[in-house]
Amino acid sequence: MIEVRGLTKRFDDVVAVDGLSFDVHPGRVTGFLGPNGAGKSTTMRCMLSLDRPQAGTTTFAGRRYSEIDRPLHEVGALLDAGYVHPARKGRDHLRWLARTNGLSDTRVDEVLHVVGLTEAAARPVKGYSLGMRQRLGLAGILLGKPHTLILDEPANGLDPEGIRWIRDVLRHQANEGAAVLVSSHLLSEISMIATDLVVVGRGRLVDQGTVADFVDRNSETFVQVRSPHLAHLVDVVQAAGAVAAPLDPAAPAAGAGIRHMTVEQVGEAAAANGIVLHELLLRRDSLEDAFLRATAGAQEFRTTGPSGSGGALVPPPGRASGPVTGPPTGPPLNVPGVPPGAVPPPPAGSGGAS
Amino acid sequence: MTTMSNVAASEWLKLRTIPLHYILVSVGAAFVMVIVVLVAALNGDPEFFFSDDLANLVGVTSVVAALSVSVVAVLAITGEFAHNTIRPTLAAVPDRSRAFLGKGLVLAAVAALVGAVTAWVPYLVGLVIFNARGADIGISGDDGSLAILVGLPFFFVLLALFGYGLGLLLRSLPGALAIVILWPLLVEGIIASVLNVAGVDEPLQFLPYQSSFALVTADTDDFFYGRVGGGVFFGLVVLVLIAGGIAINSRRDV
Repeated sequence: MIEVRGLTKRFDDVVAVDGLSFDVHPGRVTGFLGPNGAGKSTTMRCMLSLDRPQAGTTTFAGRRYSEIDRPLHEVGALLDAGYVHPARKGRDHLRWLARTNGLSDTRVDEVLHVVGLTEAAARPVKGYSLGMRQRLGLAGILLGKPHTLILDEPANGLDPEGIRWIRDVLRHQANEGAAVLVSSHLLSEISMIATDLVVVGRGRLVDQGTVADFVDRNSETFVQVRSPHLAHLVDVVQAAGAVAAPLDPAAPAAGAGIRHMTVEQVGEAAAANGIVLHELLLRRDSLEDAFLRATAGAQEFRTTGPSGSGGALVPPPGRASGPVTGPPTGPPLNVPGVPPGAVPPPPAGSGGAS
Repeated sequence: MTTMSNVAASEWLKLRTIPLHYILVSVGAAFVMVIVVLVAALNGDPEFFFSDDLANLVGVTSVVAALSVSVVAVLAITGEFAHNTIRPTLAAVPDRSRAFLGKGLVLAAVAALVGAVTAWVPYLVGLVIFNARGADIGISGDDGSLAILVGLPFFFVLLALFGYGLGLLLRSLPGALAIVILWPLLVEGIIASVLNVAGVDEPLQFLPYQSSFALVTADTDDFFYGRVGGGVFFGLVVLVLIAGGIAINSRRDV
């Protein structure tokens, strides 16, 4: 169990972590989510006493990190897979790490086998791919069979197979009873790994709970329709108070997205007006949209859209005066037969069907 | 508890698993050997080459070897910061004083060993070659030759810890390396110039780095603090550097 309480870290005038408190429970993989510059890495360094926080405490099973006799036996931390000397062989990297806590070379060989680096371990690390370095780093945190794992962006740069492998390893550790904290700036990535979420922005806690609850709270749904009489259907649903927009303005045949009506209501409206439907399904915003919506206003760095007009960071439908994030509203509706400027469109290429 | 022996074992492993460290130490030691062998084999008047001459030759050339060990010490600590291995190190050994002291102890032990080998092996090889060519060289406590052979390991330790202390303070390879090599010219040279202007006669003899050369010189009449005193004086400076480095790094973020 990790308990973080009131953690505050300032670098001169910049507040990187601002009174942050959260828990990481045994047997769970907790995603530590936030945009770039949200303070995730700083928080992790403070938790391990590598950075000195101005205020707050972190305890691991009730003890501060500096009070733990042999930390590798209790807390395994992978802050960056690049924290290796490039000229040193992979096995030697693990051996010096093991020596600090009285662990044997036999244990080193065991974890090398677990991460599949037995053969590569005899080579200098400078010849390793990013994935191999991640595996080496993971081997390092498994050395002492700790009950707590902390990993900072472990999936960074990994291919889907690598991400799945890390997910499997971490879930296995959690199933064995470990408390696992994994940071990422990508919800889609972390949702594949974690069951719980701690969301931060500008060093502050934004949200905490399960991944499913977080997505439910922060994502919107819309009805996707395709019809040979799309313009007529749009007129009908807009008359009923819905908001419609093309899924892809460049490809009207892709259909339209309708908000503020249920899938049943859209189907019934189409039937009542004799409109043929080729597709009718409920879709949900992507995980990234949910994440961006939750951390709106909490991003250290913002950008404008490709045109420089802020197109990527405009309010989502129904939040005209809201903060940033959400799917781009794009240009006025341009579906043939639909009055231009009537509604903002739902996102093109949003997340999967629900 | 991560004991000092755990830390020392880890640091010893770190030190001997970087190929560049071997290269630097080998080049330094080989330089001494090559010079001594060449002089012993080519000297035109071997019968007039005495024990203190050979000891001085070993002592002077060993300064290069000691500097190479000092560079290894700089690399050993600044490399931790450059490659960020300091983070897993201190995550594994949260007691920073223990972590930094452990590295210092290992560096000192290695420097002493390298210093002893670098002093004694070339000296004995030179002795054999010279004596085969008609010289009468031995090891004596009277002419300073034994003092150099005993003092050299200490000199190596001092220079290694000097580099380590500067590396701890600066955390930067270029910075620490530049000061290790340029200290006699820049720091002590400037201080000596100021003291000279202030009316101090031969001020270099009062400065720590220069004083430590008494350890590698047969005749120490020109050294104000003498052989042991010179070593102790420089040793105190080194201790201050290391203590300051540990104190600062115990508070700093890494």
